Amino acid sequence: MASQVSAVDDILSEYHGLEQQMADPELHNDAAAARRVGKRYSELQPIINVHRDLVSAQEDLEAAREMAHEDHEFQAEAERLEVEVVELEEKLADLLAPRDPHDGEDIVMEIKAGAGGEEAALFAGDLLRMYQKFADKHGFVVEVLDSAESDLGGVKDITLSIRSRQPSRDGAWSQFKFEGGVHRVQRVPVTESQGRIQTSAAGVLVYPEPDEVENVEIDEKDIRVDVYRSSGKGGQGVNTTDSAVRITHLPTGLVVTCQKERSQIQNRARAMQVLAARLQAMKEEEAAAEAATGRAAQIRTMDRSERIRTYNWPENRISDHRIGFKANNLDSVLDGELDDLFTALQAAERAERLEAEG
Amino acid sequence: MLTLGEALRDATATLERAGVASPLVDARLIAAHLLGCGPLDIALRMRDEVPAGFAAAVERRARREPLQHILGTAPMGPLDLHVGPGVFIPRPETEVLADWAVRQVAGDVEKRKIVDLCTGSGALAAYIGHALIDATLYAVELDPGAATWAQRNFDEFAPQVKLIHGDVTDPTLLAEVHGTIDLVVSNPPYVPESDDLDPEVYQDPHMAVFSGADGMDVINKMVHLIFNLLKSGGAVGIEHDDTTSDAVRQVFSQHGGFGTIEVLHDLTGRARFVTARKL
Repeated sequence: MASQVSAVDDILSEYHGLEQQMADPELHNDAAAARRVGKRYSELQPIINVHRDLVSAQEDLEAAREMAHEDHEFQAEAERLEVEVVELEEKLADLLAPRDPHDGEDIVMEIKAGAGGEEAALFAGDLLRMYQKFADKHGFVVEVLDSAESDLGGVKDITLSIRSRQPSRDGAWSQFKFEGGVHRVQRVPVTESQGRIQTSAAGVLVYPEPDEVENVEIDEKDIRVDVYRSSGKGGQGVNTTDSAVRITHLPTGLVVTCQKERSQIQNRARAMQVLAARLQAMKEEEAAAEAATGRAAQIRTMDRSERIRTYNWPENRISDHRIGFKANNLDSVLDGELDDLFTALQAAERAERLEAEG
Repeated sequence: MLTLGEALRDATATLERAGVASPLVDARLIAAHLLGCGPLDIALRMRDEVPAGFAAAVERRARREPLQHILGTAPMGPLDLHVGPGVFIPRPETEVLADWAVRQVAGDVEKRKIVDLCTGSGALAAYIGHALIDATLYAVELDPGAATWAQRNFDEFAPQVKLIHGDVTDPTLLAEVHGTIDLVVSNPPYVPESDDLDPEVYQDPHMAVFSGADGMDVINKMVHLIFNLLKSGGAVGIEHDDTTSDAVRQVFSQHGGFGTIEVLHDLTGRARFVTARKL
């Protein structure tokens, strides 16, 4: 409890410091700094609110107890407030629990159809739609950075940026980080005339895209940039409409493509940001993998080939193999009702985190 | 019901048969334009209905009408410039020159007197003026039809640009600012006369694209105006054909008034710009 009190004190003083900074017009001359301060401010806000409610409930409780000596009617009030204080204390403890430092951040997500042709691409398209619906419902903005569709309107490979509409401590990373890995589907494909159940798969890759990613230095000598190149002339002699940019990071072999913008130079700039985020995530994953050696398996897998989930159409069942989650509402999950699953995964992560800290 | 995904697939095949260079990209851009979303965000709408007007626009494109004429705009960095028949459609590589220009003067608020020669739709001046709102900019255009488009783009994106009707081969042009300019940029006509290019190219004004048998007519003559405009130490960046990098460098070195003559490449790695400084 004592450590929680001092943790709250630290946060209160940080919050007041941020308030002062935000009142200073100087701050707003530096857009990046202003965004950073604003983001941290809104991250702390829920803690400040609960703490304020708790302090006032504690005061009310004290007053009610005193009054109860003289007037028994206050006894019931005191009992009600006791319950409220305990609830608020729990809520505050929860907010102060150790968190993933990336939780407030935006993400980049890649969905790739596995082997299995059109059926795998249609399934990847189903996953895309599922995430999109969830994002719409929870105030996230989905933007497509790169995409290759299949003939029947499925997805061969798609790269998304998912951001919070408002800065929040529960950013896209806190919701989508468990999605990385192989998702398996069991169903009768629309392309299958015999009515046989098939298994195919899609791979999902997720990494955070921090604001501070510009701090990752990328040497121009380490990248190769590819753009549409006409077979004939360049320049005025050809009316080029394809503005896609592909950047290959030579030391790591990472490839990032962006064709979101109509402008080539803007696609290049966006691709560089995504590359920086990937490099940063790679560095952190390496460090985390090192730190985790010898510890029990983690919820969020580092292994991209790990099968994390199965979507069984005939039985309308979804199962997450990492935490033994099973539910028979696949249809609504595919409609974006991922809340129960995500909550279960988050609870498992929190337990894991507490254990690691303890 | 035909889904957008199916319509895109059909449109891509149609445009490919018509010989369009990037059929899928063009089909997506048409759909995105009609839906008012980003070109790739249509990947999120593949099972939606086809927007009204899609088939007609694809048909126009299949007849090799430039995509930008159908959409009414061409991208230039963050800007969607207004374009149409009668003005040269900006190409992506010119963004590299615009970006170079902004970086040349970005750090120094004193050095922001800039001239764009052969502005066409206003692409370079609008990009630079949009990025540097306190820059003083002059944009020169000979063709009154093109100038109308430039003015419209300046009004919307960079109202500080002064549009001058004039001929860049006249060394006395803009005499009142001679010797005071920090930076000159130009995307002049530079393609060698030819009749075997893609049909879209011939829908740009001929005088905005072609420049004699070797593509050097305008560049040869405009070097004198560039010299007169710049102050000592002022910089110039000029776009040219992929066959004329040596010739353009020679123009600057033989003039005698320029140093630090360097090559700048576009994102395909072709030598497409020459930069230099007035001695």
